[in-house]
Amino acid sequence: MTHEEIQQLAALDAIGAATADEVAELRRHLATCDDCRRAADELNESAALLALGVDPVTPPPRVKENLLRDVGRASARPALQWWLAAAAALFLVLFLWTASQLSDARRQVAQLKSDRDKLSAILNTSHVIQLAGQEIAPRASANVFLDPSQRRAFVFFHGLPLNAQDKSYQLWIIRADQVAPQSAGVFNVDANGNASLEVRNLPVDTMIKALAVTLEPRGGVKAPTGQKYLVGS
Amino acid sequence: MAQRIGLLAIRSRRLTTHPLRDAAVAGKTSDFGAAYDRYAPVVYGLLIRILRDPGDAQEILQETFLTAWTDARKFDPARGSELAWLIAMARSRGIDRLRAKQRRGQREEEAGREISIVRSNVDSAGSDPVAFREIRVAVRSALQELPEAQRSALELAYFDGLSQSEIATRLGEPLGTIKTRTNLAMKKLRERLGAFRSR
Ligand SMILES: [Zn+2]
Repeated sequence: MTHEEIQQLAALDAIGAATADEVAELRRHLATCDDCRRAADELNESAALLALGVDPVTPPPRVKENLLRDVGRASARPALQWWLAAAAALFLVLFLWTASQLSDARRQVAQLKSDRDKLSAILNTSHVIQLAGQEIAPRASANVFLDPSQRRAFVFFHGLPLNAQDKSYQLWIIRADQVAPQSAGVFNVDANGNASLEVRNLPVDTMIKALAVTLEPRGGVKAPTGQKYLVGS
Repeated sequence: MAQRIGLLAIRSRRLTTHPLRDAAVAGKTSDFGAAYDRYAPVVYGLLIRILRDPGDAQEILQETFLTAWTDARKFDPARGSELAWLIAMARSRGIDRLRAKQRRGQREEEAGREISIVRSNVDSAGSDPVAFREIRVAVRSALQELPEAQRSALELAYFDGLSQSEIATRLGEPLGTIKTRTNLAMKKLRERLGAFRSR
């Protein structure tokens, strides 16, 4: 078939009018021909614009309510399952480390490697930000695994002092486009000074200049007031 | 938390942003709802036109957007706008439903039923995005410029889901003639709507 004949099939396919055999032939050709593929994309999009020629009709509000309810269900389940699995794996690893009494340096390397291993099966993160313990908590560390495609990050904190009941740790994003740090939320650590978080709705990763953790009144504050426990960029 | 990125600000006539995809990928339900508000009247209008039944149309509408949420990563902006992606999904589901009902013979019985379409307040309220209104005008004028025979070949395929041979039978014309008409109509549409595609 010539390219022109293929593009005629693409025109039929764009409005769902090609037969199964024609569609198969078209697919085979498009797999190897950029010109025809571009033509097919244009034809498909032109066909879709036909829908805009029809009078728009506002659907009843019930459809949106049902949709958002389903959307909430669809997203809550996998996230929770992942979270439990990762948390369980992490706590097991931490337990083993504690038992093995690694030196601080070796422990940090091992933590990074292990955190990464736990995540690599799930994420395509290449971008890791390591946070270093500051004067007030020299043994603390954190690994931030950015998942830019989904604007989220998984953060693993290690060795932070246990926070008092009336205090929360607060994670801050220092953005390239604004001076004031942006709060990413508050968290507590367990008896071992560890915590693992999933952060969502991050700015695009190029906008993230640095991250920091401060200790703040319980529930967090709008702008950081406490001493910095962890900093990294 | 993170600042809202200007998801709904479409100023160009070309539909190059993808608020629906972005919201789904970020897991932001409220932004997804806002993108739904933007697109739903177009998609629902199409489904009403295809199915002529508000109940079926609402079901498919909801299914289509739920799929957009779960499969957002399958959307490839390099290949077209997200509205086109959404419309293609809705249309094919709508046609499948139509065909299933035809097989069950329900269509005849419903053909006489007067469907009262609640006319959208979108146009009159002025909330229909400007970009959509411009495309609407362009699509309608492109269709009006087509010879009647080409236009009906196109519409029978797109809105009624008829195959080329079904159209040929219905119109009593040779299959080759119908294919030629459809092709000419699509060629024209592609030319005329070039300015409104995403690329
Ligand atoms: Zn080709």
